[in-house]
Amino acid sequence: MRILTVEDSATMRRIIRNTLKRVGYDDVLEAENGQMALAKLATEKIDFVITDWSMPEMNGLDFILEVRRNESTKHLPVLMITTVAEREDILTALKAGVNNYIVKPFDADTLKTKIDQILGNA
Amino acid sequence: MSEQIPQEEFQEILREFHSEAQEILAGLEEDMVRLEREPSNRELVNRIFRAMHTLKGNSAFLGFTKMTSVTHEAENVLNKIRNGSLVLTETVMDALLASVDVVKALLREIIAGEDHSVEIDRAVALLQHALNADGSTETEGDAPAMLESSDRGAPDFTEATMIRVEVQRLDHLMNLIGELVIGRNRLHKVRTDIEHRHEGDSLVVDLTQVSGQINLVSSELQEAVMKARMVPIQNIFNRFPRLVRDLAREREKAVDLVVNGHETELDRSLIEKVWDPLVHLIRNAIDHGLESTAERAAAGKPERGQIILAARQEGSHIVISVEDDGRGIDPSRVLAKARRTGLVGQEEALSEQEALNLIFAPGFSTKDEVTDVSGRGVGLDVVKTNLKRLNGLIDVTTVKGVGTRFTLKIPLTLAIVQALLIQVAEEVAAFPLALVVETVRLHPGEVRTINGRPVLRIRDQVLPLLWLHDLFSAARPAERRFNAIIVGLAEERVALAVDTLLGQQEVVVKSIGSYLGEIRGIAGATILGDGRVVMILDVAALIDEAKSALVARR
Repeated sequence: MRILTVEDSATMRRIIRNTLKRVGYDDVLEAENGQMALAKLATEKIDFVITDWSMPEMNGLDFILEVRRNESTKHLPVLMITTVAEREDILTALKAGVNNYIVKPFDADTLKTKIDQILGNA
Repeated sequence: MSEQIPQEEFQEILREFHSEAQEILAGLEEDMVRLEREPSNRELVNRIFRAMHTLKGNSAFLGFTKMTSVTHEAENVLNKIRNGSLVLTETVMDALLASVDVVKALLREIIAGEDHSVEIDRAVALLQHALNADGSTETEGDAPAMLESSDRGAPDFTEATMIRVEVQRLDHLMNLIGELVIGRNRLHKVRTDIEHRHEGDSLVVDLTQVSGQINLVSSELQEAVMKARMVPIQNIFNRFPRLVRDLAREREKAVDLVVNGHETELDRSLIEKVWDPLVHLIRNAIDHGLESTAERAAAGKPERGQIILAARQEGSHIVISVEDDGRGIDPSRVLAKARRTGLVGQEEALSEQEALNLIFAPGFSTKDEVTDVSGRGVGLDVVKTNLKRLNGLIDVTTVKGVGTRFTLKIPLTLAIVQALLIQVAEEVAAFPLALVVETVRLHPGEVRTINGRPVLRIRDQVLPLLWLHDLFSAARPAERRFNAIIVGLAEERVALAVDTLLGQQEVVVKSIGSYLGEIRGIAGATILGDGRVVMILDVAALIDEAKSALVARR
């Protein structure tokens, strides 16, 4: 399974990459913002998306809206990583079409569980 | 969180965290100071907010709780500014900048891996106070601003196109290239000799071709490695808006800083070394160069003073200038003061430029007399010493009532230099070409004597002349024409007499080795194409020699 991580912080990208590897996912592509992620989606075969919320150029919310609007990526599973644990924000994200969310900082087990839940392997 | 991450992975993540945090912090201060000037710039607020947000998220992940606390408070303040419920007053900005300082200190603590007991309570209290303050009761003061006259923002490099390399590896590479350049020069010489001896031989034609190719490739290689060591001067320029803001606020002056040419690149080993001199010059400009707001108004000048910090490349040099539109320096007052303190004799005549250059003399200015000569000279001898170490030049131009400009000229690199080869009797020696201001051909009859010391009059300047013949124990020419090389270091100019100019060549500066110790007048050695070892003269020491000899005779 190929995962696309959308995250503007290089540190966080590395943390996510390492964590994914530890739970068995080592085919990971990365993008720094929504705009670059859309470009990746257009050219690469992606099975799963993990995206941050706050990013320059195009933030996570606008990115998801765009993903859901596009016929070819409409059903792509998306997990949102967020620090804003406030209820309203999460509702906004869920309404926009994210399949699930995870609050930073998270551990490897939680990340794996969330991914599995979305994929229906739980 | 950190305990769940395996140790080697943690180290890897820590390195990433460190360099990303440094990048963020470098841009953050500059952005904040700019925000004070453009409080309604939404894009800017968002960028600053995101920067704090990233620092918070990353530090939380790695378990650096102190950094998380500070950035969390700063994020709250920025959020309120972003949604318009908090006015960005100077007090609020002070709190935000204080949080940046604390984050920097915390980062150093984290990287050192030891507890420096960095105090976060004050910054957190300031931020919380700012958060709860009713912004409307505070009056907006005269905040200094950052004007950008050229494109802003460093190029946005992604991980894919950038890698980080240890500086030692680049240093090693540069050393190897140095050896290669020496070999190349020798090969070139051997080729020329063989060409003369066996003209027309087909093997010689091959050799010429190969040698030419190696010549070309090694030059390109050298340039490429030098480029790899270059960093944009932005790395230090972006710290100045904050410095200017704080100093101006302290002195209750209104100052705008204009930065030009921040994309100009300089060797990494030099870039940190120009920081101190520039801070000195900028501090002086704010402290003494620029008048108070009232004085400026009275003189019919705009109330906001302006400092222009600019960098550009000129051939193999970087030229950095610090210019203010302040009151200027009066050379006659500088001279009067120098006479009072005994730096210059009562009847000694000096040109305006010479008088002005006295501001670089050690101990020229003492604190209680600072205002006497608009305070110039404060630490300028330190600036000069710093520049000498970089083989740099410093010049000052000033117009009374209009402003002052200091210009620094620094070579791009110190490892491989263009050298001027000279000959005195049978001895060959080299100078860094960068220090050569001009050369003149003279007759011994044109040498004058002042106070028993040889001097030359070039245009309106009287320069001390140093016979290198004395250095090499050779006889000075009595009738023969000779060459005088005018060399400059910092603001000083001295003429050096030699017999012949042999031409210029790229040479690799080698240290002579510790077993010989420091030899006065010799900066290093190099190997020429024919295998000869040639000394590179230490121009700074020669200038000191010439100057001290003059002074001693006074």
